[in-house]
Amino acid sequence: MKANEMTDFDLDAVLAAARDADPVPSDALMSRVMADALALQPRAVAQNRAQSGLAFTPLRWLDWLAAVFGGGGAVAGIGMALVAGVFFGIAQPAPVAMLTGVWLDETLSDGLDLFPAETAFWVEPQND
Amino acid sequence: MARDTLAELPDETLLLLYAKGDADAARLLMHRLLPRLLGYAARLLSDRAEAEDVAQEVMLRLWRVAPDWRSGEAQVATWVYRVTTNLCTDRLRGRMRRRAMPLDEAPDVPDPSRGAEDGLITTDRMTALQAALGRLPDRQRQAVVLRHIEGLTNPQIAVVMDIGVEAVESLTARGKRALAAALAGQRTALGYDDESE
Repeated sequence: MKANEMTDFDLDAVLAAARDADPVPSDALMSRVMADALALQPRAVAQNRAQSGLAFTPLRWLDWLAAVFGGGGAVAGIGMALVAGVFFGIAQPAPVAMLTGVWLDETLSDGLDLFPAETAFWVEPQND
Repeated sequence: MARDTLAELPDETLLLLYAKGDADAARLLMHRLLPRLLGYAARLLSDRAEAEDVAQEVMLRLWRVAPDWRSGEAQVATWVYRVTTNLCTDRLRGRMRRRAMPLDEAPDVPDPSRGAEDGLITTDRMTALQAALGRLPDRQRQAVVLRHIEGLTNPQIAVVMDIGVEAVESLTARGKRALAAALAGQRTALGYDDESE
């Protein structure tokens, strides 16, 4: 072999050096790759909520409700109506009680006989 | 999950954690894979900017496939090398279509008369190696780089290149001989005079 020819040993040395010489990715490239990763991560938001200690299951229920009723605004409106109804039912403010009293007196007591006297069902025996 | 714990996990586990929303797993996987993919693509393409585009595209495809990744069906490293190989092959074919590159337009081997100070020897060797790799046929270049630089096993290379193990052995053997021939006559210039004698 000629003195200036590469031996297998030399070639292996060059390849080994190349093995240790991977280029260092630039900060810009790493930022782009990481931005892609975060953009494509399907459940990142949900996972972050879970990791931060917030209950996960109720949030999923809220998401489901929002989807059913057409958005978070609709769910919030229904929730407010529910709270208001419970409040008026328990507190029974005077104007509301008066209105419901008048309405019930006029409509139910005058027009409907919810508890008819039992005599109405009596049938007189026929004596032959 | 703590970063120390993540660092001990295999690539596949990190990918599955990423799919479940763990951003730290993605970051760690990127630090593991990106330098290797960038180096591999740069050796196949001899172009840093193109290699960066390819490496980013490969990682993008990995993020996309993560939710559907089937555990145990493929190795993450093999998968990304395979995608990198395919993307580089497409780009090389595109170059060939645009213009047939004559051999005398291939990257030049550095001038042997340049000084061989210690700091420059490694650079000269890498430049010479890259030029010699650039003169190999695409498949031989892929096989040699995967086997002798990236350190993959022959069965892994067979998966990456979608060929049989025997074909891999043949390609790497022929590629290494061609590489030695391409570097012929440069032993002294590359600073090997005093090291192996």
